[in-house]
This record gives sequence, structure tokens and C-alpha cells, in this order.
Amino acid sequence: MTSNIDEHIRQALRAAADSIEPPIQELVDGGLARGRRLRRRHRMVVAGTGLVASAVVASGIVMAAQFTAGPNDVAAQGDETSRSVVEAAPANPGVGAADVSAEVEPISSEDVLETLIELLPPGEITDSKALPQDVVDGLRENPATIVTFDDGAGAANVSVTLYDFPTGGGCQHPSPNVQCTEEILDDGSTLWITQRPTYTDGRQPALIEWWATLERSDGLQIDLRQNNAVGEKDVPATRPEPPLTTEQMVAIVTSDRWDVYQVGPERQIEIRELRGSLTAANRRLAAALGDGWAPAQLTRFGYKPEAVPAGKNKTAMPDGHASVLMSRDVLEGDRSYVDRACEGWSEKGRAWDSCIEAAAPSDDSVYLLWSRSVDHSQSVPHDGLWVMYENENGDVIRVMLSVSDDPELSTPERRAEIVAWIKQQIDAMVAAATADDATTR
Amino acid sequence: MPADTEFTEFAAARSGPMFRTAWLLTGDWHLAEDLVQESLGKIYRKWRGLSDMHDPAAFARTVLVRTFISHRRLRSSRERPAAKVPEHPVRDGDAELRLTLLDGLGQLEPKDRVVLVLRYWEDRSVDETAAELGLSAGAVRSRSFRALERLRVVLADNNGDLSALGR
Repeated sequence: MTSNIDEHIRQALRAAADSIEPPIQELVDGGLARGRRLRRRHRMVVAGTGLVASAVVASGIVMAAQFTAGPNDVAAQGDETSRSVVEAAPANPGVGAADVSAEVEPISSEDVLETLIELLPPGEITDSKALPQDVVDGLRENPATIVTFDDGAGAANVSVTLYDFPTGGGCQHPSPNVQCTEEILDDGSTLWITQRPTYTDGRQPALIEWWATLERSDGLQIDLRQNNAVGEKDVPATRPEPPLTTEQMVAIVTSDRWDVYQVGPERQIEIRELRGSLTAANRRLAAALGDGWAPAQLTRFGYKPEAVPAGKNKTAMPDGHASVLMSRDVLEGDRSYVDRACEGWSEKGRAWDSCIEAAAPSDDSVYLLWSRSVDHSQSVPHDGLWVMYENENGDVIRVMLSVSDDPELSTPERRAEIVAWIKQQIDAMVAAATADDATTR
Repeated sequence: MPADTEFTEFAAARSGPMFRTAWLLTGDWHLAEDLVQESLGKIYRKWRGLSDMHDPAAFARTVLVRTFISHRRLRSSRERPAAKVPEHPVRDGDAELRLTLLDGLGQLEPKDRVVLVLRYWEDRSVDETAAELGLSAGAVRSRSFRALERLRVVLADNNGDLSALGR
């Protein structure tokens, strides 16, 4: 029965598809014209790529980049066959695709693995992986490697990923159970050290992650991560703490062995431009919010424009609250997004209500979506509000305010105080969502 | 070979199959044209030559399907318009029944439609379809089953019959 239907539908589709004569010439001409237009817009596209990349980085997958091997890269000048696979991969379209391909030498995960093994302190490496650098949507995934390292006190994962753009290794989003320090080194690079539970929501508290992230002034970021387990999810801790001390992590990421990896000059220019545009975007957001808000200081491209409390808002929170962050993003042409979001949902210990529709001063509808942590034992106490506005182009502008409280100090009274303060921000958030320049990049 | 010449040859070879797939997905001549041109444009942007492509046909299909799905997200309407009779050359055949099929496809969820088109027009396996759409194989099977059931109901309502369509 099923196979009959299978065959019928197969034949029917074939018959329907074969009944038309595709307009080949129009398709080719139109495709070529659009492609040329897209290439001209490539700088903008790179900004968009950054957004995607960072979102994906958060979930543990790394996305593409373009690296060049420096003049001193012995490995790069040596074995040609080992890098044939990566050379065959398309270049980052943002750097002008084919035009520059001859001038740059991509860095492979194998190169990074070799360097990491060289830099690890004495111990046994029982497993190692140079992660495949698949091309996803035209972008080659970053060189990344992971090893299982045992210094004698228990095996654990140690990984290194290189990025040629700042991914937000910073300490901008503090949480009570995440410790993060930032240091500007003499050579102008920035070093972040982060210690955190693998799950900040309190699941499996024995699992710990330590990171060291170095962002060099040329834009190259070396990201070293280690935990106290083999694997990430639903695995037992193999030792109380990850194997490398902070000093050892710092020694690895600041080693001059990484000097052979350089970010190409064109990419550096792009990164500078993107940082500049994000600084401007932060300023626009703060200006639209008005009194009591300032542009966020750190401008890591790939992140949404952000603003932080200033002036009267600085003292509005209960003492010891963890963080307040305002951000704005644009979901281009995604008309059904508001419908979907407005149904409400819950995930990871937080719940989003259904929307409240309200009128902006312009009489346009805006949608308010409240969220909160629902299980205080499992997650950081949090209250938030989104204001969503759909402009005439069908773009959804989303202004998000998020306030976390210290779990040790949080009480219903403090949460009520926070919610009352968030309510006072609604007008500013509506103004930021409906601002004429909200969709300016 | 100059990059544009090679791309043009690639596009000329692939745009026919891409258009047929796009037509099944959209049921509309102009939307199909738009979808193929958009997909070719994306491919051109990243073009580094045929030698860089492991499987040009598969790559073109993937770009097309993903562009279709994101196009669907970009458009507000949840249902596409009823299939339009093309004002363009159409070969002989039972046009009315085929339009009924396109109408039926049009009433499916876009992803269900993609599942059917990939599986039965592009002859992709369940696993390949799953990989293409980022779904599990189980999800592809259940979407496929649901879509076929729905298609049968729609066709029955229109006095159509799947078995008549392929003739």
C-alpha cells in the first residue's frame, strides 16, 4: 500500500516537474546579477556572519574564519599534502572570495592540535581530535582541537579553538556563579580567565569549566577550555578541578608558538570597521533609551548592540544584584516571529509569559513579553522584559532587558523591586524599539 | 577558465533542475524564478570554481532548499496562493490534475513539502533528507507520512487521485 503511494507520488511529481520548460537564460542572468550585488555588499554580510557565528559558538559549534600563516610558520612552509583539504575549501566570502585565495594560507585544526600538544605540561594524551573544518554556508569552520589529557590525577578534556574575530570572550555577562577576570597585557592583547560550573543552572554542580581566552591586537583569538570530565553532557567528574592551573592556561595562550598564526590585513580592517559600527550601534541604542542609559563599553562584534544603566538607573537596583543588561536586535522580515514568541514558552528554568499588546506613542502596536526564572534552586534569579515591534518592512525589532539577582541575597521583595524598576523602563524600551534608526547597522 | 564563464556554465547546467524543484516547492512561476535566482546569487557570491565543489548538484540543491525555507520564514503568509497556471511553455500532459497536485502540495507545511519534494522528486533517502533539513530521520519519516496522508485527503476533496497523477 505504502509503496504504491510512494511510487504514485514519485511519478506524479516527476510528471508535474517535467511538464514545464525552465527559463534557463533568465535564471542564469538573474542569478549572476544577484550574485554580483551580493559580493558588493560583502562587508555588510560579514557583519551578519559574525552574528550567526557568535550565536553558534555559544552552543559549542564553531564557525568559520580566515586565517593566514605568518612568514615564520615552519609547518605552513613544510608539508603541503597535510593541508590540501583546507586549501580546497572556499575562502571566507567576506574577504573577497577568490580574489585573495592565492595569498592566504588557511590554518588547519591539525596545526592547532600540534601546537597544543607541544604546549601542554607533562601528562598523557589518551585521545585527540582535530575537528573537521566543514564548510557551512560558505564559511569554513574554525580550526579547533580537543584532547583528553591526564596529568595522573584523572583524565579531562582540553580544547583550543582559534578565531579571527572577537567572539565575546569577555566578562560582560556576569553571573553569580561565574568568575571572570580581564587583563590588558603589555603587548595590547586582552586576557580573560573564566571559571564556571559547566551548567550555571545548578545541574551537575561537580562539573567545572575553566577558560583562558587571549584576544590579540591583530584580532586573533586563542580560546583554551578545559573541564574536569571526559565529555560534556551527562558525564561524571573525573577529578575535583580541571587539570591545568590558571598559570598553565595563561602560559599556553600567551605562548609565542601561536605567533605563526596571523589574521590577514584585509580581515583586520574589516574587524576594525565592524567594531566601529558596533560602538555606533551601542550609542544609538543608549540615545534611543534616553536618560539613565549609556552605551555598553565593550564592543565585540557579533553581539547585539547593548546599553547599561547610567545616572539615575545606576542606583535603582537592590544592592548586590548581579547584572542588568539592555540589548536590541532586529529579526529581519520575520513577521511570524512575534506570533511565535507571544505564545510564551519555558526553557532552562526560565518562563516567558504570553504577550501583552500595547500602543506606542505613534499608535503602532508593540508587544511586551515578561520572563522570569521559575525555579530558584536551579537557576540564577532572573527577571526580564522584551518589547517587540514590527515595522512597516516586516522587520521585528526586539529590545530586551534582563536583570539577574544574587541567589544568596534574592528575596521575593527584592524581585518585586526589580520588576517595579523594569516597569519604569517600558517607555524607554518602546522608544528604542520604534526608533527610526533601530534597524540601522 | 575565467570565474564568471565557469559560473555561467554551472548555472546553465543546474538552473533547469533547480527551477523544477523550485516550481514544485512554490507552485508559482515567478516565485520559483525568484528562488532560483536568489540561490544562484548566493552560490556566485562564494564561487571559487567547480573544482572546489565536491558535488555541485547537491550543493545547488542544498542552497535552494535552505533559501526556500528562509524565504518562507520571511513571508508572512502561512499558506501559499493556489498554484497558478504558468503563462509559459508547458508540455502536454494532464495539466488539471497536476495543478491539483501542486495545490495539494501548497496546502502542506513548507517543511513537509520540502520533505516530499526531496524524497520523491530528488530521490533523496530519509537520512539524506534529514541531514539536508537538520531533522532527525524519525521526524522526516513522520513528516513524510503526515504529508502523504494530507495530500491524499486534499486530492480526494478535489476529486483527484494520486494514482491518476503519474500517468
